[in-house]
Amino acid sequence: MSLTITELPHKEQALFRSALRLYEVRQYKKGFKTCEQILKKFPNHGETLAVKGMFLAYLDRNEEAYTTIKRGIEISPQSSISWHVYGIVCRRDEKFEEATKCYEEALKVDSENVSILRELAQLQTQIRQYDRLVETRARIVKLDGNNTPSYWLGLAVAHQLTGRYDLALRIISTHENTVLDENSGFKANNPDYRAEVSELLMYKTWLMELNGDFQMALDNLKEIRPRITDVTGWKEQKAKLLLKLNRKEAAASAYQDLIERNPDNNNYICSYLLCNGLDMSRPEDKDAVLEIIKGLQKQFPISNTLKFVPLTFCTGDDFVREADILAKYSLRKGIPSLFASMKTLYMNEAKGTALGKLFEGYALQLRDTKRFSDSTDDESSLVLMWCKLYLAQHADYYGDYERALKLVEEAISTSPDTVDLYMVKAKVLKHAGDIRGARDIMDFGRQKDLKDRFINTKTVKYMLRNNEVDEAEKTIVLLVRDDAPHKVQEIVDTQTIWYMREQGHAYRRLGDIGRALKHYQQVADSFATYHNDQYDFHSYSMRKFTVRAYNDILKWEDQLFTHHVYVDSAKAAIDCYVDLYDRKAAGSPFVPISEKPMKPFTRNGSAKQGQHNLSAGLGETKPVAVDVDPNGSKFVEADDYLERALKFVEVLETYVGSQPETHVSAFEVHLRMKKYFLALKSINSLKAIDDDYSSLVPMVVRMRAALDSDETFAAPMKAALKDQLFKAFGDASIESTIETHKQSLTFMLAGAKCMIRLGGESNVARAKDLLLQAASDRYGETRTLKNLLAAKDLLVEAGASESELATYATSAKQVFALSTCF
Amino acid sequence: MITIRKAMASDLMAMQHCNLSNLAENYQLSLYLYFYSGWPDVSFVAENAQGQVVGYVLSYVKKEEGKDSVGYICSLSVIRSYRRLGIAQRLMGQAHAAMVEGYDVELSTLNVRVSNSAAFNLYKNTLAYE
Repeated sequence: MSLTITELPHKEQALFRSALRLYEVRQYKKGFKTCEQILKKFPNHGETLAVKGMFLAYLDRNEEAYTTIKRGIEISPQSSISWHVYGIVCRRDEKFEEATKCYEEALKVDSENVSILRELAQLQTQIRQYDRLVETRARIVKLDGNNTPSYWLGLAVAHQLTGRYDLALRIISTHENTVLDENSGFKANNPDYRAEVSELLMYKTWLMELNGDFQMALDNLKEIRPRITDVTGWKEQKAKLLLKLNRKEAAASAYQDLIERNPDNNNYICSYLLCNGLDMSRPEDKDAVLEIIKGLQKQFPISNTLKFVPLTFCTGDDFVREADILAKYSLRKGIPSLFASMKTLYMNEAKGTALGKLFEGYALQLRDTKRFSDSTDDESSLVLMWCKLYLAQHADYYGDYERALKLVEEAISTSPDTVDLYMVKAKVLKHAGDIRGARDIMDFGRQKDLKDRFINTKTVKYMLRNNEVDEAEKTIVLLVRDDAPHKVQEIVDTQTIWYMREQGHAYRRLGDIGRALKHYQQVADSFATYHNDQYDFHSYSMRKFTVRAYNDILKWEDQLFTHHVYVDSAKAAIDCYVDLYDRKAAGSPFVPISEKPMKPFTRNGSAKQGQHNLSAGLGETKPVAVDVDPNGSKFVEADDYLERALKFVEVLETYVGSQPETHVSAFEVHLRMKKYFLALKSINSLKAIDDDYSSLVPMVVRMRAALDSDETFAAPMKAALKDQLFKAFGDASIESTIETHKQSLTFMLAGAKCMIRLGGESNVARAKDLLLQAASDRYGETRTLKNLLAAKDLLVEAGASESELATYATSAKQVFALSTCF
Repeated sequence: MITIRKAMASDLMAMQHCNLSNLAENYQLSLYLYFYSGWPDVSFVAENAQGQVVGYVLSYVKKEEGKDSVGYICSLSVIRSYRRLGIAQRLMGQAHAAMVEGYDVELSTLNVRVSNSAAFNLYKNTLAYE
């Protein structure tokens, strides 16, 4: 039989209580010893065992921790302490679902324990069980006799999260006086809590708006003005509500007020126009819009936004006139981002052409007369330099890399110390396929300003694109803060996700799947941390009253895994695991590479170390923290490649199910797991997004082949699946789909890849034939650098000979004359 | 075209990225979350036409009992290729205004590396920090 605490002798009871206190003050070792002391006399005391287990977890002895706690629970399953402790350990390990269940068990015995309820509320928010959250929060409020603000605010937020804005408002109205009433003795009168009061009042107004009571919200807003600290938020809210209530005149003056505070906000400007019944995107409004913008420009000459806005809606001569004003201003000022901001206009072909002509004209005028044709003053030579830089980027945009390089060279000869010029030159070379040259130029630019982290960052990125992982690491640590104990670890600790991803890609190109997976996993781990970061705010934000920002945090967290760095790394990790699986299945498993490759891998064999000035701080670099898995062998030696891949697939399916490539990745994993119904589901999901997607028919073909060759799979189910495929796709084949899209390299690549995967001499030979033609004219614009490189990789996979690869390289160089990457 | 606006939760990762690309003082995302959640109205971002964050100011306000509020500029950064547009100055202007209007801040402080000459000049000459 189990003993409850009260059944222990006094001395042990006291020890038990002191163990719990030791947990609160984080004295885990002492706490552990205290438990041991009790267990010496009462080795089967369940609650002590559970608490001992918790201390073990905090002493990083996780496995023992769980067995000890589970034994404790077996002995005293009716103890809330044991379940609570179990919940704490699960929560610590980020097993939020399990933790929630433990807390619920604990509450079955101890239903009025507010601190357990509060922790449960945090967990339920974390796993988005909002309906249950409402119950939990309601119980807390009911048990609390003190009207604790964070409790009832928590309940209001729970109602709001389930869409019951009316109930949220009612809760606030019932309790708000404990905070707002001047006689409540609480926070209202204390200037130290002004911000909290302000946030509560603003939240209430927002709830009214969510509930559709715009007028009530507006009236309330006016009343609370003197107590508001978030003045910008208040003014934005007021303007928005006036516009929603269609009180256009008042709304216009509210937006006018906002523009005065910040004339560089496009949203304010658009809304101001809306108040005047105007819309920039409506051509018939153009003249009226322009008139208003001109008026605002006079009022706010400092605004960059107002200078640019006319370019977005003007066309023809109006466009040229407005562009001329902005261009001359920017060239004289030497604004490096001029092309970057104009670039969005190039979507409209006529505007791109017009801008090219305009700047060509400037270049001629400045070259011949040192002046713009409408001016009587000589311009500095730098104006022509910036003009050439613009024209270089313009040529680059249209793929004329040789001209772009010539122009940027001319700019450099005028101003050889301007770092921006090298950044542009490197970018042009990158687009032209000279990855090595791009990296060299970026590095040259870096040497002009060794203290600047931005150019350092760019150089590191370009080095990684050139597969120089070691050089990249040496370079990035130069500008990691000097007092970081371990600079390489610091980069991981500060969540430098772009670097992790690029490292992964570089190692993958180098064929080092172990290290590639290691870095993709670092990305995934960083996102897991981001996801868990929200946990504390489920309670902190209630105490701070900043629940509007808190809602914003939840919204962001809910779509965290749609971030392109995560999606890209996850897909790459899936590919790596699939690759590992295939190699193992083919009898030649991948072996972890123990030594780092010393030399950058370049296929033309001309890799040379550039000149680097590493004296700027590398000497102080302290030894790196012991990396327990430097080459990623942990990933390579795993025996569950597909299960690991599946974890990534599940995240992608949940968050980016609207992207075609999600289902391509999912298919690859399901097919290898012989989960044919899921593979079919991936095919159908892809078809629903885009029934003419390049990978679709290849997936169907491979599915058919897999079904045919799987003799262990039940015949009736096989027939049913094949029947479904036939109904949806008939007898679609690779050859037919390539033929239908004979001008698309993308379709050809997908088809060739499929043939290689299917295997068999004739398939592979056919794929090779197709791929050797990848650079031919028929593919026109689809011959992007990325596609041509993919063709090269597939050729290597198909076992093309040296001479075949050389022939292909020559043909690819006809498309990208400056390239060095084939 | 650059828009200056209040920071939102969905900007925090981009702010972190901007910081990591530009400066040597780097922080984990949880710190950005903490400042944003504690003082959601005093941090601002600059966003380009493609919606990328090209500059930010991350700030907070501290109020000790019985004393005046003090504003802190935790981090300010503008991507190199977006210089000369006055972005940093505008971001600081918004942050200062928010601190003064909302919190009656009379003093705001920041730390800058002397080696960061662009920032040093901005603070000392343009914004009159001492």
